Amino acid sequence: MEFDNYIGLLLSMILTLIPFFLVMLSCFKNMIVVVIFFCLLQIIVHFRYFFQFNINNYDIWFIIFMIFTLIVILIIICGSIWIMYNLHHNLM
Amino acid sequence: MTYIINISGFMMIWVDQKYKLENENSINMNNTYISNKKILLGFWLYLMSDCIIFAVMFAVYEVLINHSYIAMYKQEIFDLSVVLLETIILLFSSFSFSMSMVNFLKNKNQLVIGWLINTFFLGLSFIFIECYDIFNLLVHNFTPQRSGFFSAYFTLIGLHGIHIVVALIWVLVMILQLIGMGCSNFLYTRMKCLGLFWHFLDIIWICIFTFVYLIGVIGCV
Repeated sequence: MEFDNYIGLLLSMILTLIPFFLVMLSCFKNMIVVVIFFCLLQIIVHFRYFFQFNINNYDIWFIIFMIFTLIVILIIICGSIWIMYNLHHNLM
Repeated sequence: MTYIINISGFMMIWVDQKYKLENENSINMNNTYISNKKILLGFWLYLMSDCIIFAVMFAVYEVLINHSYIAMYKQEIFDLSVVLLETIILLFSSFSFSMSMVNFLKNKNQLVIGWLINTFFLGLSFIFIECYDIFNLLVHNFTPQRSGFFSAYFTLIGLHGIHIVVALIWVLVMILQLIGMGCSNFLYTRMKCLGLFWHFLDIIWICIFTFVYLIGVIGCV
């Protein structure tokens, strides 16, 4: 478990520094996809190494709550951006 | 609501000292801790609802950033070197909390307290840097009243900052409890809840620095 922490620190350090220096040194529009990819990767690293999130350890309810929350978040964010974009488009 | 439940839980511990003394021998014999699943699940539920609150804030920010003219000044507003420093500090505090959890399982009380104090000061320095950043903006007349973009920005950053402050108070209370009663089964559940909270805040910060700062700077080009 102690070893896990060092790996987690190292991985998340790398995953933090790479997008920051990519944006600081050279900056172009397509970088957004790369940055979001690194963000998702780092969240997964946090879950794996810092949360100690094994399915054996936790009840199935933890997973069910998390999936439900993810669905709600997806609806909120995608829905609001979509609706507001359409409203903006109609105003133009 | 969760905090009220937690505080009442802390008070119950002080009342139930005797029960703890009876239980302690059985814990130290096999040297394994058992967390209270119900409390953990309840706290997990709270974290998930908190996650939805943050998601709403992110949605508001994403909507307002595209539809306000002041957002053109983003390049001057977002100072990436300060954000990088904040990120690294928060990352190290997360690591330091994990180390205190590892030492808790090994029953080394001194080391647990040491790592927790380390976590506390890292979190405190994060808050100070964030305050410096916010005051820097306010001095240059970028106040929340100026536009929808700034309202959303300050709400998002401020909400995260308030969460960190609450977590820091919790860490302090935890240190006092550890000094008082050492590593025990009671504190194990609390340490786990605090760990969930602290790492959750770190994950929120990852989302903030990606979606607010990095994409904000990229969007200017």
